[in-house]
Amino acid sequence: MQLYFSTTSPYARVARIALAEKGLGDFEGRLTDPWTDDPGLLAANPSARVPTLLPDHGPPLTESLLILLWLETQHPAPSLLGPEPARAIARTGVAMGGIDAAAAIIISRRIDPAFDESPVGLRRRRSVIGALERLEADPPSLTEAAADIGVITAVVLADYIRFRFAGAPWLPRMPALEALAAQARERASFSSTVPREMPKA
Amino acid sequence: MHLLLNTTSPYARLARIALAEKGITDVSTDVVDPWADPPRLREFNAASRVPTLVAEERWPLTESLLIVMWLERERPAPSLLGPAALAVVSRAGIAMGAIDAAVHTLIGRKTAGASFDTDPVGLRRRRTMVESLQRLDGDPPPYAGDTPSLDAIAAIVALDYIDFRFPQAPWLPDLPALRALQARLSERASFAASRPRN
Repeated sequence: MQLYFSTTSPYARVARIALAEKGLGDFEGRLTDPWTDDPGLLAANPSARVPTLLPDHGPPLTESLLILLWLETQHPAPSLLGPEPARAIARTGVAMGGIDAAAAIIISRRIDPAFDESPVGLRRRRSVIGALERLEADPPSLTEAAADIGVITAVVLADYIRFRFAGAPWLPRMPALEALAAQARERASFSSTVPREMPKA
Repeated sequence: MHLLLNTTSPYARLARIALAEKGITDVSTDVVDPWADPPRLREFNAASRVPTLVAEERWPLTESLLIVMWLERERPAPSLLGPAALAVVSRAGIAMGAIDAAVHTLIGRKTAGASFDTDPVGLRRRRTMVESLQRLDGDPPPYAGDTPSLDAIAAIVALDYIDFRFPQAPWLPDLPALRALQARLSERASFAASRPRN
């Protein structure tokens, strides 16, 4: 199995952590900057986005939430939905809303360097803040068993926000999420995937 | 169960069709304009986006693919993944990429104006729409007339949305296989009742 990923993408990180937590972490990682249109990536995924997973047999899988759906149905054990699946799925939605908004800010800066302060940019910022505040008020908890998707996506969001927006005056305080992220880094699936700038080619 | 949606969002339509195809009929729908930030939407969804499904008051569900994940657990039959789940999820991913590219283009215009479409990022989104649709046309989701699987749903939600937002676009390729699937699925109540409109 091969996985196209970048070191910055929160979507790729969700897939990398989920694969590792499922015990499927021995894939061959293919590090790529999706904006450079790697021919192998583009052949597998016309969106040229990461994550793109190439199973040993069968067609490529894309979209982090579809990879989770496929993992959960085809490799049910250990479950990534925890003891309260509806709750984990609901929390995942909150976190993904924050991740989408943060990623949209970063991408939109390519078109408009002043995007952050535009009406749409401020709306995205509000979504980031709202997601962080909701998760901070009711943080998921990490136990010894496999991390559930609510924990995975909340930590991916918190770490991505720190990576992209550290020191921003509008960021809310999030001690509970920071504590969860620190606890998660004791697991190899999280510590080996902490977001960082892409290595120079 | 309560579904907050609008009449244009392909994500909301995907959730709506999935609920209907699962045979869940006790759903009250509430049409909202997410960009107007109605409090009843923001209460359940910090990102003020549709779809937002309130099954249990404490745990509103957002994101169309998470709603599908939840449905597959709560109501496994009929499955939307079918016996060939890998192929279904693979094609569904191609279709979701096309949907995201179309939506990004519409939202990009809100910031950059119509010039977004021909900006390098806009052209990249267009390329994604064209190539994703061509990919799906070359390997169309099978549809036997019973419950459509997630790939068929997502492919036709993508195509109907692109037709709706980019009517007669000169860059839209010929898609004979997808057009045939579109015509057949448009006769299903779940698709007919949710066609995108302003």
